Amino acid sequence: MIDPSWIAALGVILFGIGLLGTFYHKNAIVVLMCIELMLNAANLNFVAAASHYGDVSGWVFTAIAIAIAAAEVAIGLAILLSMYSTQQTISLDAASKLRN
Amino acid sequence: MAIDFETLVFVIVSGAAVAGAIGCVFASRVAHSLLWLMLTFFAVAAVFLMASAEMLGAIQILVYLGSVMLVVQFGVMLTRRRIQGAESLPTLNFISAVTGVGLFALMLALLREVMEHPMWDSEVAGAPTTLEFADALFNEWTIATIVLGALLAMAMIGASYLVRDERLINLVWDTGQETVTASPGVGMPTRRTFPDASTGEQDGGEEE
Repeated sequence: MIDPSWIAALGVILFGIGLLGTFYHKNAIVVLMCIELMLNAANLNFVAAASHYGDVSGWVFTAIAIAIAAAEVAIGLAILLSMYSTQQTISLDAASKLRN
Repeated sequence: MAIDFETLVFVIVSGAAVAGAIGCVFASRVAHSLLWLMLTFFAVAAVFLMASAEMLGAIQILVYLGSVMLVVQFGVMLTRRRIQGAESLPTLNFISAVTGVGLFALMLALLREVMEHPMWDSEVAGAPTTLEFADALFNEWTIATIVLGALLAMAMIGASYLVRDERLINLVWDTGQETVTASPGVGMPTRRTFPDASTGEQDGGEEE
């Protein structure tokens, strides 16, 4: 089997790239996608620890994190669509109001 | 020197994951970002499979690639007009360059910390099985699973509440008639007409 520390290292690299994209982009949807990338990196770390220790709790945490990520994407996109309908933009620089 | 086949597959898959992540960050269009991100998620599912977490790989493909990416694609399409072009391009100035270098240094430091952590010194115990996963999820973590279901239900209700259309013209029954009739049919509420309801942002504040 693959050494679990390599999987954790891949998680760190993906986390760094996701963090860079979160700071780098103005489009809110791309920022949301980069947050998904960071959540996936955290999941990789959970899986690495689970296969290193032989403990199944890491897999349970990963399943919970995936479900929470799905909920977060639904809420986030609902907020973005609401923002788009009131301000006609989803640029994070231009959007400055939460309601009319 | 013989290269292990599994190592080779892992290098290819993780290279695909990193390439997809970089493409997601640096693609100029949102739709291209989305496609690169799907490549990353597929690669992460493959890494889950290589760590013998087959169930998690299936969940990853079904949930992330099946539903989350579909929802994000809907978001891209519904907000399409203003985010193509110059507005979606990342800013390239001095501050973001400094931030990028700082993040790269942070990533290297984090990589060193993770790779040389003393937790990897112990013996590798091997991955658990899917049967143990199901047993843990539905016996040991039952409350967490139930709370997770409640959380998902609340999230979906909240999302549909956030994107509701508040204009009253969309809440009354559309009988297909332009004028208000004197005696509408039984069970048909009277169609109420507003002079500017179809054009402006009518802040009616009417609840269902």
